[in-house]
Amino acid sequence: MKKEYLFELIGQVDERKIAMAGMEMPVKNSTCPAWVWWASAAACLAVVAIAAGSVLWKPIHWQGFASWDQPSEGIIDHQTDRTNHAFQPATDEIHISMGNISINEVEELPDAARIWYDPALYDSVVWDEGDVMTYYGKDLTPGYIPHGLTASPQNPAATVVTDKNGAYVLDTVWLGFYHDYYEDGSPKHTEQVAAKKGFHIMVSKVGQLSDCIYILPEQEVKTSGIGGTEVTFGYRSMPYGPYDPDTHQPSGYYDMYVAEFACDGIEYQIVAEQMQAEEVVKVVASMICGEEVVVDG
Amino acid sequence: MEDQEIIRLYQQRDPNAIQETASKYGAYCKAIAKNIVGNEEDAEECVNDAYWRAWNSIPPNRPRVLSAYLGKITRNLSFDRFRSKCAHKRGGAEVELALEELEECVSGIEDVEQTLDKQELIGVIDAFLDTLPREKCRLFLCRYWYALPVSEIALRFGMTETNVSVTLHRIRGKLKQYLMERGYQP
Repeated sequence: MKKEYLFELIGQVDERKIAMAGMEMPVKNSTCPAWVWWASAAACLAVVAIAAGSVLWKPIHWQGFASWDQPSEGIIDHQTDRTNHAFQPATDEIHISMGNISINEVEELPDAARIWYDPALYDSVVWDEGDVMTYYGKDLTPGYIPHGLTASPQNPAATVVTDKNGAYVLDTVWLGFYHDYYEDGSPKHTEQVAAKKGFHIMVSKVGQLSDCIYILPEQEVKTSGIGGTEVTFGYRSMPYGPYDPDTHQPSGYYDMYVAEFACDGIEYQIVAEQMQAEEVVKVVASMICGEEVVVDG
Repeated sequence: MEDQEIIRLYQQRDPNAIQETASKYGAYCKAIAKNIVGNEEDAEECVNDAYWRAWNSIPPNRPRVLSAYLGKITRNLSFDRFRSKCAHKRGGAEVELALEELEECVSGIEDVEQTLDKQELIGVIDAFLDTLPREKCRLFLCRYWYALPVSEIALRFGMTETNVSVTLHRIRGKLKQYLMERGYQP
């Protein structure tokens, strides 16, 4: 066999594998259309004006904790990136200001009610990566994964349900990215804090995700615009054990962030534990814009 | 525009299909072409040819993943162009380095019988890729499907270039072994 022939053969492998090789950056570039560039330029000017006026800039708008301004487009700047990244737009890098991100306090994040589907009326189907790719039309892996986190061996986990006509009634797919895993593939707790470290993504087209309950009434919950997509960020300080047997006080607290948004007809929910807010915003923005973004503090 | 809408334009024979394809996948296809042919002009021509190939093939084809479908057409056209130019001159294309690396996996001798088993061999390579962990499969395809430079892969995967090269070397070794175990004398 000749090397050219082998190269040709490799060229004929399953298209789903090719798409999964993560070559969708320029494709996703289109989700940040040209108007974003204009909006960015305008926002950039606004930032300059604010800086010139020596206005104090609150780093994050903690909705429910502190006063906040009206949320605006989170993407504020594109700076020229001269490195020649073949599959990245060799144009600009996207900047997001944490000052434009509103974070709402979360009351509760209940697990989605598990509906029992009568086998007489519904069929369960286990999806593999290819099925997920075909259904959602894209690789759901974020363009940015924080250093130290790796993909779960269970990715993507999906058992979907269809009615007898083949229509999907449950299409939720789960992808996890954590610092370490037990042998069964479930995320490990960290040594210092008895909790997972990393994030998971739930996606659905039919909308079967958990309902994140915020402290403020629904109409007062604020969203943050990223690449033209409205994202609802939430935060909760989570207790971790072991708990004191007498006082029932936890050993401590860790940060949990939630991000919810809909893009290209797909609903997303991201739950991040023991991660910085900036990292969560970077993950979310990379999913919307299809490339890694720079988050300015 | 959503892929399904673009495909619908092709099916309706609406010339906007090509415009929408160029707008959404132009950069993607050009990056593939450029890594293989090594220069802007040839890459541009390959991409334009790929649009027309897509126009003439959808329908009857209905791509499952439009990006990969277009990428495959672009890759094939670009590799054809690369080979036709090889007779005259080489240099500049990343694919040359990728081919040199693949040389480790093959004997370099043309085998007519194996050529006849092309579909079967593609199936074997597909099956081999299924045995790899997801990230390694992606890494392999980035190098030998997209002909991405090692430096680029290192950036994208958060690895050092040495680490990428070593990982690719091991995967090539495994591929060779896999082919031999299945009766192919690569």
